[in-house]
Parts: sequence; C-alpha cells; structure tokens
Amino acid sequence: MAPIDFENNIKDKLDERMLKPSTDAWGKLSERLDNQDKKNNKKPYWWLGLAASIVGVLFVVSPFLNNDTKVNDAPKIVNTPEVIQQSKTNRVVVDNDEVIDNVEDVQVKAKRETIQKVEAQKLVNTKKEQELVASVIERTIVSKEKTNSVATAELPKKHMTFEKQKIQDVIAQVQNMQDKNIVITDADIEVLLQEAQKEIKRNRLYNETTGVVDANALLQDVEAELNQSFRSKVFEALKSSYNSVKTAVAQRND
Amino acid sequence: MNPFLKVIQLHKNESVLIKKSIKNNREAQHVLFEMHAPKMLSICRYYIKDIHKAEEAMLNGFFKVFTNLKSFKNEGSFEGWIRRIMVRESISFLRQEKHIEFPVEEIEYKNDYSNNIKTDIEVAEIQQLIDVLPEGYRMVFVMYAIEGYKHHEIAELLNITEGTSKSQLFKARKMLQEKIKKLNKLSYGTN
Repeated sequence: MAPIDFENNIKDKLDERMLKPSTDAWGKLSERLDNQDKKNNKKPYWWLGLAASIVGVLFVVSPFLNNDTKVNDAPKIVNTPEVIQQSKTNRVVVDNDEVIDNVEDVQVKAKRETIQKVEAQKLVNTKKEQELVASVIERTIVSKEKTNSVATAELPKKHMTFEKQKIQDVIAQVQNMQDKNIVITDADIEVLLQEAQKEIKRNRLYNETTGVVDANALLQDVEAELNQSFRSKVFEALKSSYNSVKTAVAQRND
Repeated sequence: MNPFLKVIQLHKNESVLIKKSIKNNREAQHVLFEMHAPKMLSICRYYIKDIHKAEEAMLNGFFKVFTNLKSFKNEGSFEGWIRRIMVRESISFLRQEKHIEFPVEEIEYKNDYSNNIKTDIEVAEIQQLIDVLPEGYRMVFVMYAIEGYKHHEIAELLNITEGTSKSQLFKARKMLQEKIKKLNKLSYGTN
C-alpha cells in the first residue's frame, strides 16, 4: 500500500499550506504560560509551608516523644550505673572500714568529750550544754553521712532537714528537762542521742511517702553492723585474753 | 547570501531562541511561535474540521512545547518535534470531544487505484475531501499519507491494531478516490 502519486501530490500541496492563527492566539498562550510560571513559583512556598508545618508538629510532639524515650531508656540508665555502683560499693566496703573506724573514733571521742564536759559543767550554763549537744549530734550525723555517702548522695537535703529537725527535738527535750529542774545525767543524753540516731536511720532506710525501703542503705547499715560485731568480738577476745593473762600473773605473784 | 549559510544562520538563531525560551523568555517564545504557528495550525487543521478548534488544539500543543522545552534534545529538527506534539494534541483533542470509531469490516484489498485522478486540485479542495472522511478514516489517512507514520506507529498512537489501521487507510483511499472521480466528472462535465 505504497502512497500513490495522488497522495504524494496532495502531501506536497498540504505541506506548503500555511494558516495564519488569529490575532489573539499569542495573547492566550502567553497568559497561560504566565499562569504556569506563577504556579511554578508558588511551588517552593508550598513546600516551605509543608516543611514548616512538619517542623511545627515535631516541635509540639517532641516533649511527648522525649517522655517516651526517657521511659524506654530507663532500663539502660539503670544498667550502666550498676556496673559503676559495683565498683563503687567495693570501694566503699574497703573504705567503710576506715570510715567506720573514723566514725566510731569520732563518736567515742565526742561522747567522751560530752561526758567529760557535762560532768565538769553539770550545773554550769545550759546554753553551752545545748551547743555542745548540738555539735556532738551534728558531728555524729556528719560522720554517719560520710559512711553512707554513696547510698545517700542523691538525697542529702531531705536527710539534712530531718536530721536538723531531730537535733532541734533533742535540744528542746534537754532544755525542757532543764526547765523542769530535772538533773540531766550522761545516761539521759545517751538515751536521747540513741533514739534520735535510730529515728534518723529508720527515716533513711524507709521512705514513708513511697513505702519503699532503700536497699542500698539497708545493706550499708548491715555491713556496718557486721563490722561492728566483728570489732566487738575481737575486742572481747582481746579483753578476755588480757584478763586471763592478768589473773595468771596475779596468781603467780600470790 | 548563500542559501546554505542562510539555513545555518536560521538554525543558529533557532537554537538561541530555544535556549532563551527554556529560561521562560517570553519574547523568544513569541518569535518561535510566530515562526512555527502557521505550519502547525495547518497540521492541526488536517485532523480538525473547525479552524477555531484546530487553533485551540494548536495552542494546547504550543503550551506543551514551551513547558517541556527542556526535554527537547537537538537530535532531530525542532519543527519535527513540534509537529509530533501537534499530531498527538489534535488526536487527544478529537478524543476529548467525542468517541472516535474505527469501523472494522472484512475488506478485500485490491489495488484498483487509478493514477488518472485529477491532481491539479486546489489545497482547499483537498482539505474539503479530507474533511468529508469519517474521523477514523481521516486520522489514519492523514497520519499515513501526509505525515508519513508507519502502521505500527499509528496503531500505537490511536490505540488500535495494525490491521485496523490498514483497513482504515484502505477505506479512506477508496472513499477519496470515489469523491475525486465525482469531482473530475463534475469538472469535465462543466468543461
């Protein structure tokens, strides 16, 4: 079906034909092109708007997302310090002996000082006595604080306020007793101090608001007690051996 | 000036205009439009009987030309590229207007074309003859006989089979032959 001559002829003739468009043809096309350019120019703004809205939504949602991540990350946070804590506790166990020694020394010294000073100034100024008692309590608390520094490092403020309150209570009790003209003995002060110490210790171990017992503090306390009992055993053994030696020497002399 | 040099100069000018038109230079686009619009309107007119509608299709075509000018690679002629766009635009314009039918009938192909057909008819008469053809016939005839498309290309563009394209061309030719014969009889009769 090759094109016949007629078709070639009309093809040539039609190819040569030119039809002039209407006068407003270019105007119409130009207008359409202008509109298209405006649309194209608007596109970036549209994208900017979209991007801005996404950023806005992220900004609004980010606090919630952060909360979620905190909750999710909680186990991770717990895991990493565990390792550190282990090493810390080891150190603490090692250090504790020294610290406890120091604490006990301080306590013993402090108690001795108070006893001596109280004996010497039994009937002297009550203010001085109050100061002394307060200072002794503070010193013992500070020394205790040192032993439990790892366990209670995060809660010093709360304990300090409770402990200060206790100090104030003890001082008030002593003052009250003096006001009533009751003679204050060493034993009384000792009892008051022990009671205060017990309460502080309990407060440290058991959080009333949450109803949770601080496991670390409990462990620290038990460790301290264990060490104390060991020390006392050694002391007792030394004491008994010294007594036996003493009696043996005395009997020989007899 | 040497005609060969004149062609080179024109091509250079056209390249510059295309580059400027890509950058939305409206003046350059206007010049390109003025250069090619008469030819392209004629092409659209092959397919679309109404000149105003043909112009509408042509403007749609030029809009596509200028908005897709970046995709024109200087591999073929710029006019050829625009021409293909115009043909497609004319076809889609007709399709939008109404459903085009390509009636398929069993045809016995016979080469009974006569070369004794009057060939000195005017362009306007040729256009009239083409306009009388049913749209399906007209499209295939124009695409094949005037635009030089192959049957597989026509089939692809019109979404028909190659067989349908061939049968449409055969019928179009037959119909045209009859019309020209009538026209010849009339003209010889009058003469």
